[in-house]
Amino acid sequence: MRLFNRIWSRTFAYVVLLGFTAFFVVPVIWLLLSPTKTDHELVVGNPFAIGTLHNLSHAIHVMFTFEDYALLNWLKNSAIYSFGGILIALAFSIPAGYGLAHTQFIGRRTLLGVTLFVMIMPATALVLPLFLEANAVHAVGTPWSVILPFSFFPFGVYLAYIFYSSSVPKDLLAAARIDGCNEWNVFRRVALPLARPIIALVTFFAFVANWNNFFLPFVMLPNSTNYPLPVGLQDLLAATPAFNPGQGGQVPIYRPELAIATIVAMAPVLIVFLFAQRSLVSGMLAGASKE
Amino acid sequence: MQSVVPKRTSAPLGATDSLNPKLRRKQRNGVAGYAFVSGYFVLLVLFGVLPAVYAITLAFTSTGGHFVGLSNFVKTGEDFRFLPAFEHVGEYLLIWLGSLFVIVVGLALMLHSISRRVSSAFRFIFYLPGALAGAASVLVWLFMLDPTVSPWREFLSLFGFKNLGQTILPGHLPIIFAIIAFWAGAGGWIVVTYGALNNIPNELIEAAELDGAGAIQTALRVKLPLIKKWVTFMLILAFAAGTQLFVEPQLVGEASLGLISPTWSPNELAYYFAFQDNNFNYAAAISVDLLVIGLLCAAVLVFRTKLFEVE
Amino acid sequence: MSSPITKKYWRRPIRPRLRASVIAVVASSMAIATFGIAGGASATSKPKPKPTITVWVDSTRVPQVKAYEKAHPTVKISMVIYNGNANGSGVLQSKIALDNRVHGGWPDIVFSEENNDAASLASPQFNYPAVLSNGTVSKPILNGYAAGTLAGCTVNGKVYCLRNDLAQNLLFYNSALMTQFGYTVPTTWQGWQTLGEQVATQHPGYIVGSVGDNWDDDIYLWPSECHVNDVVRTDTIDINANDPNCTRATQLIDPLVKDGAVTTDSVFSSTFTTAYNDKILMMVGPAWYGQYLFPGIVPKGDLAVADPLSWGSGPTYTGEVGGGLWFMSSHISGTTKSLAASVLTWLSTSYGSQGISPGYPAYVADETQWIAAQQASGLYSNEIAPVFAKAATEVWQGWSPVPWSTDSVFGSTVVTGLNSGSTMSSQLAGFASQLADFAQSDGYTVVTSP
Repeated sequence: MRLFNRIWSRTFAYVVLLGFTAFFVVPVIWLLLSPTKTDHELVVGNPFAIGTLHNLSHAIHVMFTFEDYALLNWLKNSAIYSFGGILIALAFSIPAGYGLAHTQFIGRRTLLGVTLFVMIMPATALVLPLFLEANAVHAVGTPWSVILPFSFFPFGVYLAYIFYSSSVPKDLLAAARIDGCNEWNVFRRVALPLARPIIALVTFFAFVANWNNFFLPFVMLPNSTNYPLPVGLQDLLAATPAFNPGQGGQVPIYRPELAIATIVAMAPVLIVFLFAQRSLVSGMLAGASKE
Repeated sequence: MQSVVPKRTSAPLGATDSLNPKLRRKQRNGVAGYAFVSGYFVLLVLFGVLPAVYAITLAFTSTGGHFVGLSNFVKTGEDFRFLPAFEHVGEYLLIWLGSLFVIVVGLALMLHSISRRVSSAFRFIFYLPGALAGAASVLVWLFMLDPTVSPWREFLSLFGFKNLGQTILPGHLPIIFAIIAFWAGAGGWIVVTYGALNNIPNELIEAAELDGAGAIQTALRVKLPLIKKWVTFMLILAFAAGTQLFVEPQLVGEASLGLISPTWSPNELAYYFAFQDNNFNYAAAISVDLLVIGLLCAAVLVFRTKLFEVE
Repeated sequence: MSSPITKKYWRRPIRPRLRASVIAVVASSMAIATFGIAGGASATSKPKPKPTITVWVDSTRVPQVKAYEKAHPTVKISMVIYNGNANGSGVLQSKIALDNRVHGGWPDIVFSEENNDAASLASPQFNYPAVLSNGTVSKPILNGYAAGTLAGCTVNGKVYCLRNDLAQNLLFYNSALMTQFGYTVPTTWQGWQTLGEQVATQHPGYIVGSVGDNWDDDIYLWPSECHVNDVVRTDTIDINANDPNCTRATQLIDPLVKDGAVTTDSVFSSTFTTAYNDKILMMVGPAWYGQYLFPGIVPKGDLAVADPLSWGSGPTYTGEVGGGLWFMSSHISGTTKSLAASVLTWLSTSYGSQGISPGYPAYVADETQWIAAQQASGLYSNEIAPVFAKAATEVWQGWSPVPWSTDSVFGSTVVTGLNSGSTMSSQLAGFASQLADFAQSDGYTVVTSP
């Protein structure tokens, strides 16, 4: 009976998982196949038809050379802003999460509350004051106007906090303290090594948040040469006939080329995800890793 | 490679050793805590608190800088687009939150019950759409929603839609946006929830199975309560994100060449006031409305689940 | 492997509080220092001996700016590419709003393809563009534009921009199909409707028009002198849903939609391309339909143009859909201002710029050459010059630039209603009432013409 239950629940799980797989992946498959077709084929042909390599190389060529290799430039900018933001964010979020979870100090709960408050505040409202701050120190238009706000990552602090407070038992740290470690060493030698999964998680989410952020770079960067991918893509959409029929006619960017740009914007996120996944599932203490 | 840890025989979570006086003294040491959070604190003030205070001040002042009490709130509340926008988002939230919670937790539990390699592959697939940022996914949704070219066209034709315009009729929008938001957002939450499940000690699960609990019972009675903090956090953020819906109506509006009102959601209305009318005070008033709603939900959840407490 | 707890932690570490505080202080000072060092890239324009003119354009206008640079190598131009404020994205408004807040950073010259930007940017909230009719641009030049075309740049009697190109509506038709079916080209709207009814019975599947896009109010209501967008005096607008000029247009179209002679698909949608490939008998639309819509769905050489349809009595009017605007900042003065004015004028009027512009030039002197090039391309089967020129002068001036997007409201009320099966006539009231809401929200007084 137990075996039957097991098989039944496993099968059910797989059916459901495969169903959702179709839901999530069909548009992505469509997207990956699009650059191999011509714009006309996209409209009249079968969505899952596979086109030609010739179309693909044409689309890649046109997209990358557009506006003097603007796509590569946006890619470079996105990388700089994202990684710059992550490095600083990690350096401050992980210790903060640990401190909130495993040390007692006055204002601990207030800090948690204020962080949550700021996270819930609509970003549209924060953009103007951030712009004014950056302008006050003449940073508008520089990478720092984007990197420094990116390094403020309250979501990461919360992830670290919840991880440390639910999954790292006080006893372990207590044992270290009994052995004579001071607080910093308790963190560095006990808590930090255990946090590999959460560091991977925070890195990943920080990367995605920075990589996909549109509004902040849009406001801070007036010059198109500084744009990261989301802002560049927005401009691109307005330049192409697909979304701007009357005015965009001069620019030979049609939907297959747009698909290339979309894939270029997606790919780094997925690569980082693959790397982060490996750390994410390395389980944690008390032998919880599944095999 | 995980370090070896002392064996234990009872569940470590929630255990307290505060009977040891030496420990208690150390734990009451408040200074170390400040050190750990100080760097983050500076960033929080610079990029969180100061802008938030500024924005809230804007909500209570006029364009000239004079204090006007609740006038901005009244004026925006009377605007002809205000009520429809909140109605829209209300419908959206019902669909979005419900499906997010049930499906994300359900899928994470199912992933947790199968082998790790396979679940790794599934998680990657579920995450794929999350890599598409707002502007990038406009193209995808232009095609997905158009019954002439969509891979889902058989499904769309079941509803009798003949063109893109019919798919995105006003009555359908809350569902469509919920689907898009779910498609793009679920993957990330599944990853977090799965990670949370993975942190549950194996012994607890084995103990439950030994006691005769089936898969569903183990899931509901053992696993779910242990990831309570994560799920609460997810609900708070999903609620706030839901009320602050912005990207999906924008991108479907763009994909359809302008058939959707640019102020469909309250957040879009705030943006419109700020940047189309150059009235940052009205925008701030609406943002404060959204903030208050999000905080209420957060407060309820935080206090009910004791999110801020560490045992 | 040894437990991390017993690993060599007996090394003397720096006291945690001190170490962490040092980190915090260093980090904060780094932040402040780098913000401070990065002063050089500030976007505010400062007066220089030889001013650099900042020009914001979209991709399509880049060749025109480059042509200016080539023709004037001593002038320094800093070109920024943005999205042209397309599709109601409001990017320009966002940037100007932020620049206003910090009193700096405005572009000296801006191109926008959003027709309403003259009204929007000239409003007191934005106060961005310089008045050009006060001598900044000379009278002969202002008079050199096709009659009535600068109305799109005029707010409260002052001219705030120069037109780049026009998008006057004409009647396009497939000359081969018309001959094949034995029809004559209509000259009136009533004639167009009769022809449409004939087509619906004799040749089902062929269309004589479309109402699936949010700019179709410019195509059908504007030429009919429908009063829903008429700024009659300062801050007063006439919006009348029951205006017989409006209802006569919608009542003309409704039976054709019912019969299928006019489609409710968007002309740029996949549905349209698949269903109406070579099935377009005729269509009223802006001049740019010729280059950007019909190639590929109307066989090359079959496309022809005819004068805008008239309503029978009185002058013939037409509408327009688009056409770009050139603005100059009101925040510059002295040599910068006069230099910017000359750049602006060149971009808008010289053939070096307009010759490579994809749209029909607004400046009359450039029109002949531009049209000749179009004719030579073989796209059209008849003489297009007289039709384009005449239509350019017939744009009705009772459809004013306003700070909100009339097209956007049309799309979300009327087109949406058409898609759910309602008639266009039944949607007029909702359309007008939303326009009135926008007008009042922006401080206009709404009147209703008798």
